[in-house]
Amino acid sequence: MTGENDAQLVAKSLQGNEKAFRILVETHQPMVYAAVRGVLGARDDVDDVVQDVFIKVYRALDRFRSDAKLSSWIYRIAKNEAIDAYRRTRRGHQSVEDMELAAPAGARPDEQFRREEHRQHLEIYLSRLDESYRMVLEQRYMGEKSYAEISEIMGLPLGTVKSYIHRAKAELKKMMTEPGAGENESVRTP
Amino acid sequence: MKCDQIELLFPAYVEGDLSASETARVEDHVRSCPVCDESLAEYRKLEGLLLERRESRPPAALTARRVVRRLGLVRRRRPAGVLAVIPRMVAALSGLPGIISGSLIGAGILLLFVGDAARSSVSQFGAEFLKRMPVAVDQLLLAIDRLTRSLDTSTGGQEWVPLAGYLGVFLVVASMGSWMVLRFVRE
Repeated sequence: MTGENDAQLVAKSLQGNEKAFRILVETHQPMVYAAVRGVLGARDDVDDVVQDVFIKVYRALDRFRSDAKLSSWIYRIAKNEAIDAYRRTRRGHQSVEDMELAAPAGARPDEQFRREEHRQHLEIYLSRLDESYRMVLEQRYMGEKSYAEISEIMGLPLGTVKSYIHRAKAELKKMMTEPGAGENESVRTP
Repeated sequence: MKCDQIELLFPAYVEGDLSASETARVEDHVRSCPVCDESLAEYRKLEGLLLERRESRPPAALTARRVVRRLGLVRRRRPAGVLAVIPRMVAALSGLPGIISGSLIGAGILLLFVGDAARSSVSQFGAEFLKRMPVAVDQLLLAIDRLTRSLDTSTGGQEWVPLAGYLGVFLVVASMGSWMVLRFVRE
């Protein structure tokens, strides 16, 4: 079944073909994960929300117009679902902002500990980025998408995508080297 | 080029997204500028951390499996080839036809090996019952008695004849029953 295009996968999934829907999920999972992570950050319910997205996708497949791009249609569902999850649970869940930079449990070698610390810092810095920058950056790194693919999925001009990514990195680098930078610009408010 | 202009090119440089001339310009500059060299090292470190974050993403196949399970789309996998027939045959033979044919074989063997004793005990039992039980039971016992006697007479005491008869009945019942159960299992 490899090599089938989106329209064929959608048609087969609508006929109840489990294998076709599995392929559809596997193809778009990195993009959906990136979109959900862009809204929710490193919360522990990200995986559940990603699954919820695909369940919504399955139930709405008959409403998908074949002239539209499947990835951008799924992206919109993913972003909306993540925003709903954010609104539903923002008080009940640990957010990146609440994350303590304490030493991870168990003794670790110095280098490993430092890397873990850097990763946790990076999550905090990402949460302080402008939402548009963060969503594009997540698609680039977590979603493993090219600039052209991001442009298509998010409906942004190619130049804008490049510019957002470069600016996002410049801001992250600034926060890394000047830890106080961007502290008052927390924008994880979808 | 000044340092702040060069630094603007670093994000694209670490991704390999610059033209050959821009790349050369960046590399020339950082060789002679320790401050920009350090800044470029920071961008490289950031690039590494951003790439490492992918490790936290679960495998796509795992997500697909969970979603399919939650949607109830998972179908029972059946073994292929010869192995596929075995469970169906077991299901077919362990049902009603198995019980009927098993009972027939058991009754046949019993009558063949303890024929005389069985006949006499059935007769005695029947005679006793004649006095006490309703007419239907009486008729049934008489029919069994007549059947065993007539079998004995017609076969001239050859035991293989009733055995073959029982086996024939067993095969007919078993095949019809199995066919019906297989149809049910297949559906």
